Amino acid sequence: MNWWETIRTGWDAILGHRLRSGLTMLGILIGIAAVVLTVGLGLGSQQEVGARISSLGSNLLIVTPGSSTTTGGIRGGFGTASTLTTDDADALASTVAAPDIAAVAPIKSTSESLTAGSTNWTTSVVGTGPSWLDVRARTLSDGRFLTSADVAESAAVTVLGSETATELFGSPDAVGQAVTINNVDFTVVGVLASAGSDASTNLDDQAIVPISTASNRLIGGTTRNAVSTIYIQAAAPDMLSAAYQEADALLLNLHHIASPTSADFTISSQQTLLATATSVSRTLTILLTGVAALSLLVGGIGVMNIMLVSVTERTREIGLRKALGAPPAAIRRQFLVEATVLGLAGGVLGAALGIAGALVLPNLLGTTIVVSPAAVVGSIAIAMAIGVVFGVYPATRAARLAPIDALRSE
Amino acid sequence: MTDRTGSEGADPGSADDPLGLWGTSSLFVPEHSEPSVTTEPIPLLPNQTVSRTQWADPDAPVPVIDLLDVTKVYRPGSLEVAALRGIDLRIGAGEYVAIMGPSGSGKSTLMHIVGCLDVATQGVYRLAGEDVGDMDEVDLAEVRNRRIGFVFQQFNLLPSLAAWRNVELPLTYARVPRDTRRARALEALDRVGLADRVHHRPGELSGGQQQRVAVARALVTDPALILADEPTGNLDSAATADVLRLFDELHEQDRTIVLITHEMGVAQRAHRIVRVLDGVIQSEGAEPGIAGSAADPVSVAGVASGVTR
Repeated sequence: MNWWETIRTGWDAILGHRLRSGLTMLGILIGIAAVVLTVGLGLGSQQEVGARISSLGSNLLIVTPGSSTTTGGIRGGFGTASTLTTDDADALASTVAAPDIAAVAPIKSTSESLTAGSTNWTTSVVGTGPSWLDVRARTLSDGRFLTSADVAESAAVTVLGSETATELFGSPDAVGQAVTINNVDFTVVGVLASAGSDASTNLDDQAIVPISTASNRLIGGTTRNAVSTIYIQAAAPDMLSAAYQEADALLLNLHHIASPTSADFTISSQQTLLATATSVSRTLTILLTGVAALSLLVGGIGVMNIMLVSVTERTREIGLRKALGAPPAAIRRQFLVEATVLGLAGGVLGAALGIAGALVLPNLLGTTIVVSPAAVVGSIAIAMAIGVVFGVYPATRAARLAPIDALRSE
Repeated sequence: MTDRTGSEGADPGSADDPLGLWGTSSLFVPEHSEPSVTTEPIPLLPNQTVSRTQWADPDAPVPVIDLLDVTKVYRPGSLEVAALRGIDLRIGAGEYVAIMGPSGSGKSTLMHIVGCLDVATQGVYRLAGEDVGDMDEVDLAEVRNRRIGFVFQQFNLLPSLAAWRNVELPLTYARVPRDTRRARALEALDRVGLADRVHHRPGELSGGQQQRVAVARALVTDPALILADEPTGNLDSAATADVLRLFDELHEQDRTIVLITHEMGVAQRAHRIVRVLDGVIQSEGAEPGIAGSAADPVSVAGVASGVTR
């Protein structure tokens, strides 16, 4: 009896017990669908995090005050130990001290209520310099961005995110309009092009103002030159580590700190952010995959259970086949193939269900699920392997039955 | 069973004078026809085993079944149960033999050993000249496949397969190509008169038809021996007559048939009846068969020894 006929015999036996075979397959099916979906979810969230971090800009280093308990607070100047200042930012921008740093954008942000006519809109107000646009890799849809002159003069001008503009004026077409922030009248000079939103922040809902205007006229306080974050852009990707070292040395020097271990600031790169974020999502993926693997194990035990039932039920058939000259290997192969076909069918259907779920679920949950062909092929292979592994014991039992005992059974 | 004493009485000659019976035929082994062998159990010497394969007369046909002092002991618990106690039996090609005995007599065990479904604890069994005593499970499976066609009381057809696919089943294990298998299965079904039922499943056939399918399955490998275990046990009288007529026909085509039964009416169709009781052969001899022909000359070397044990 060749392989093809053995597979046909196995398939016939499975079709002979449709309900039972279907329920057995269901165990594998659910397990495989869960694996495909969780692996897809894990990949999706990694991709999402990666996209979010790269949306910050390119070749970025992010300096945050390390010893501060609150960063970027509403009253950042009062009491909180924000150790980064506009002076730091100015020093970092020096091409002499830090030649590998292409651009520097200090950030001082607060949440304020914006008023235009009778419309109120509360959003994040970001005080920064002209290089912000390049550093954050943003573009304008209309008007102009902040200039050095705006910063020098603490000019009351603002560049709005496209959504903020729409909320305040009914359309993104807001250049030249007046908006009141914290009783200061600002003129809208530009509107940012839409950059979409990610799960945590809406990139299109913010108001950009000169950093000097923010410290002097909006936030105030005693430490007016304190900033919450400094974005540093390296001149090129391969200059990132040089830029890191220059920034580190410069800031330690400016802050009069001898030992790098007691630095009062933190410099992170997109890579380190990505690594942190992925390690979180990886842990989650491993956890979910573990659950999926458990359900596969349960499915496999189901296959074994059904195969054992099948062997018991078909003892007479086994005896007959042996009497007619089937060697033990042929009997073992017959049941092994049957278990494998069960596993394989469950795997293929499960992968199909997983792919279908990956198409439907993102619309319902707002998550990204990436179905990788490797995960699909791999999980089908796993399902087959489960059929083989959990089929070995029942098949061996069938092969070992003595023909006379088997024939005698009722 | 009431017939048994009668039939034993009618058949004294074979046990008392086996030599005389052998004298009528050149079919059988020279060493068995020596007087010294017949009065005692045949000693199982290794050199004797070797000499069996080197016949003095190369034209002498090999008996299909050749059992020498076969013993079977079961150990269900700590107790040993001897199901067979020194069986000597030879059945030549073309014979039609019935093995009779009440339940517990050991006839089922004998049938299992003859059918290579089980191996003897002691003794030698040659099936068509092949010693099956030393064979492992794989070789036994092959011997069953090539040499023996089984017919069971319960028919033992696979319900999900059409008649012709049931019939071709032994051929699938013999690695016969698909087309050949189908052709031979159809031919075998034609021979048992079921050419118009080849695509029916067992459930769509009557008991007699199912048993005829089973006979076709036994025939399809062209085996040396057709071994039928109570083939009419589950059949009504019409179907029984039908199946027995089929066996008669097969006998006329020179098939070797061994029938295990406890029905005298069935056994009488055979040309020789072997009675088994308590693990030994009680009596053996030709019965007045319905076919009317005289019994073939048979070897009965072991009968006297069986009784003395």
